[in-house]
Amino acid sequence: MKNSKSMLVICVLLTLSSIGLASSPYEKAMEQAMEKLGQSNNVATFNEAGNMFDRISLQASSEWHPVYYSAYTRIIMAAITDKMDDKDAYLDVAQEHLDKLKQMDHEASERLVLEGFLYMIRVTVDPAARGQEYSAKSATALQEALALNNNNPRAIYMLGNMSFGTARFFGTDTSEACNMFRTAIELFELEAENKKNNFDPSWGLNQTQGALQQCGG
Amino acid sequence: MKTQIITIILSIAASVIADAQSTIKGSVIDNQGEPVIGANVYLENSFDGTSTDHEGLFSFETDLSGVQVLIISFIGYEESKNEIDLESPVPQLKIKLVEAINKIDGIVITAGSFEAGGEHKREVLKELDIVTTAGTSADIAGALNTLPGTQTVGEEGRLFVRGGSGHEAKTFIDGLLALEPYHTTVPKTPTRNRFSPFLFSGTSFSTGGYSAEYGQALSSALILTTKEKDMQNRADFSLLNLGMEAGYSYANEATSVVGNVGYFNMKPYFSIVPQNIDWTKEPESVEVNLVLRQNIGKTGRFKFYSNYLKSTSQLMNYSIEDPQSGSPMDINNNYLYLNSSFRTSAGKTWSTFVGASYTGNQNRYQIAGSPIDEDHHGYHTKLSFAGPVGNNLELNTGIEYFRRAYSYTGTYQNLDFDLPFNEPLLSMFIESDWYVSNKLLARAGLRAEKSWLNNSFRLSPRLSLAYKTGEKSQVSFAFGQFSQASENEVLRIKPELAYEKANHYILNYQWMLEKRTFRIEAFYKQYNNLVKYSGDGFDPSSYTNLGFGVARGIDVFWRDNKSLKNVDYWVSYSFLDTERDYKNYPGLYMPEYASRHNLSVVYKQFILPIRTQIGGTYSYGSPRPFNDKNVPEFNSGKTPHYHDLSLSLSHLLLPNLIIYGSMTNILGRKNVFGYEYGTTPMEDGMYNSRPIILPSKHFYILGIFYTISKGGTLNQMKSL
Repeated sequence: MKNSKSMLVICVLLTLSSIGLASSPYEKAMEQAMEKLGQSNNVATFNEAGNMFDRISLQASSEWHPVYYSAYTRIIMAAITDKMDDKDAYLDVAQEHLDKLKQMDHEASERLVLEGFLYMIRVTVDPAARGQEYSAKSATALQEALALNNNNPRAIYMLGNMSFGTARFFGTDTSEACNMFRTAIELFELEAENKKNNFDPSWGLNQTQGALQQCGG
Repeated sequence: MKTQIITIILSIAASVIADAQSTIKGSVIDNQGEPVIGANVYLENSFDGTSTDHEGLFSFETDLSGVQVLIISFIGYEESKNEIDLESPVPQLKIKLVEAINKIDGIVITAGSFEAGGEHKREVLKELDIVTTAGTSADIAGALNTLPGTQTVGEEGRLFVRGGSGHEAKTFIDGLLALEPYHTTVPKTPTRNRFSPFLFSGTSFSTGGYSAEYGQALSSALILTTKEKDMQNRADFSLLNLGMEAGYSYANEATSVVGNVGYFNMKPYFSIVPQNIDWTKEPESVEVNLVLRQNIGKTGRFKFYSNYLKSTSQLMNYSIEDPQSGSPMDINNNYLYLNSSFRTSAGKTWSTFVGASYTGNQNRYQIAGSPIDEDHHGYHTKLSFAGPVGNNLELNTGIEYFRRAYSYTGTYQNLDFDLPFNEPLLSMFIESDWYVSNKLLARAGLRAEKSWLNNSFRLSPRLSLAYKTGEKSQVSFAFGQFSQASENEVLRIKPELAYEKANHYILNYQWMLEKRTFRIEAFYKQYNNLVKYSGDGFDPSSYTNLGFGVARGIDVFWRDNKSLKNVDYWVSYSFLDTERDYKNYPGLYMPEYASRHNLSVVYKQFILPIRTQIGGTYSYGSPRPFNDKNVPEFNSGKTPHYHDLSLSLSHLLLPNLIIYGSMTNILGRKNVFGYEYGTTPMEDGMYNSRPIILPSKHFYILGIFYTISKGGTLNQMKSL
């Protein structure tokens, strides 16, 4: 009798500790989804990652991270797909997630970066008709993102990209844009060192390094 | 003892895992039995789930037990919910997803309709096209004249649609009527639409069979929508060889204001480019536009648009009988248009629209010292509701009241005249869009009109069908009955004349793939109740509604923005066979504004290295009839073929500075649109004639457009 009691206590304790050691189901699911995202390299795999984030946000409805990545994956899908007709459909889904994000307690600077990114891809669907309106919207969103967080490397990278494109187009000096890429890379490194939450957005370093290569020397 | 405990713990743990884990497997297909790739498959209330693979297959494991709900969702499909029992082994599932009815990018009625707007791919013409089409000088009517179903009537500049005369096309702004949408000009010289294309984000141009929401237009409805989306704060300046403009836009989340002021004076231009009009005071005008938008509450939006114009000019009018004797003619115009509306946004719920517009137009003429005043004032009020009834039916219904007053007073050859009329009109409409399936859309509408001008009541049915024949193609059909009051020039003589009527039958095929569009449309149009009179039309008792007519034809359109890099071109061809017995025609004849064949080719190319867009527009019109008074047969004269090649060039000098130049009729062709004849025969019994031609061979525009915007130039990022 005594034995069975102590056994029960041990059992309960063991079970509790195992739960404590392993992460919560939310964290576990997020880790899996982040891993999937890290491995994604085409529309299908980004879609799978996006689906995972969608599933998580249905359960963990107060968490902003899965909603953020649901939007992010759809923007990437729109950016990399070669089917022109699909781009807007993906972006419409991304916009829904961003609208949802806006209603939540979240990192507004990061949402605005995605908004700027989304508008930029909207332009690519029909540059002649959409260029003026959506470029302006994109710039506005990115500048707001920067105003909220001066050290957001993704905002600086994206703005640098726009600035680089404009300078190239008008045949003017690109050094300012290139300096923005360099600033962004420093901030990416700083961000990696001071990471508070594993699920916080951290993408963009590779892209910035790629962009900087265009600058030469 | 120790080992016993461990064994027990392990077995408990193992049993927990082994017991609850079940595998859910299956496949997802669409209506056609094709696999759905990348669908999200998951259990409600859990993190467990997966995506379908490239064969539409899925398989995942779950710890849940009991009865659960399996959800499958994918873009473009209705969400599917399926109960499954995890107590027993789950059999292989086969789930069919139903395509969601897509009302935005899905099926649309294309018969008789051209949409131009910012966003959607299905639109044939973009907002920008109106501004960048060569030879149109940013004139809405000019740009639409490069589309099939229209014809170039060089001396008018208005829209002439499918055998209809210029007054048969009406203009609506944000759903409300705009009277007198064209500038007042010298007779037999081309006019322009008053409304600046820069202020509108959407243009819907109907060449027939249009919605029951609109009426009082026998041929065409041009529906303009003021800009919905707010741009950044900006100031715009332009300097042209014809005048100058300044504009300012302010926008925040809830409010936006756009205002601009323009001043135009043709004197410097006419002193360099000679005109065959003898101006004693070159046209001079001031124009003010104001657009306001205010969001009210969560879904409400208030819009206000106004346009004011004042223009003056004076020229010498030479008689045809004696080309040496001229007398001065003054042409002055004051125009005010006000439009305000409130709409609650559409969506899953019903939306309400309430709006009113006012047009006031005053033409002040002086002909050889005698004044003639032409006043036209009118308002339009409208209340309408739109929303879903069930899943697949959308209803749009409303009530409208129009009232306009027209008067024509003055002295002509020492004879005083005063010719007024008043038209009160009450109308109601109801229309439903029934999405029978993702392939078939049916629209049925009915418009009722009660007019106190001629004490008439009329019901006009409208019907359209669209059927998707494939991913990229569809067939549409439209039928409609339309009625319209006669031209003011007729009504002022006999106001109680019955409304003129037209029936439209349109069959359309459209194919669209990415940035290529092909359309072909056949139409048949019957005219009835057209006004007939005898002689010069001064005798009211000779006016009847016994006229009639017919128009039939084929329109073809091809646009390609894909095959050639940075090149966009379109080709429109219209064939028109039309005859009427109206006005003072002695029988059925082709009207003088009609031509059997019309062709437009529009080409635009952006040359990246020099940041320049070049554009060319070629227009052709086959000979038009005119009435040669010196031969007995009516309308037997034929004008020469019409050809015009216009070029334009816009160069982006700085991100915010554009240089623009355009020239019409590069080939220097002398286009003759017909002949005017004297009213009395000369000594030899013949009438003198004068060709109707443009005031000068070429029309040039040169200008610079400069924009100042805060944060608009991205190079201001130095603060980093």
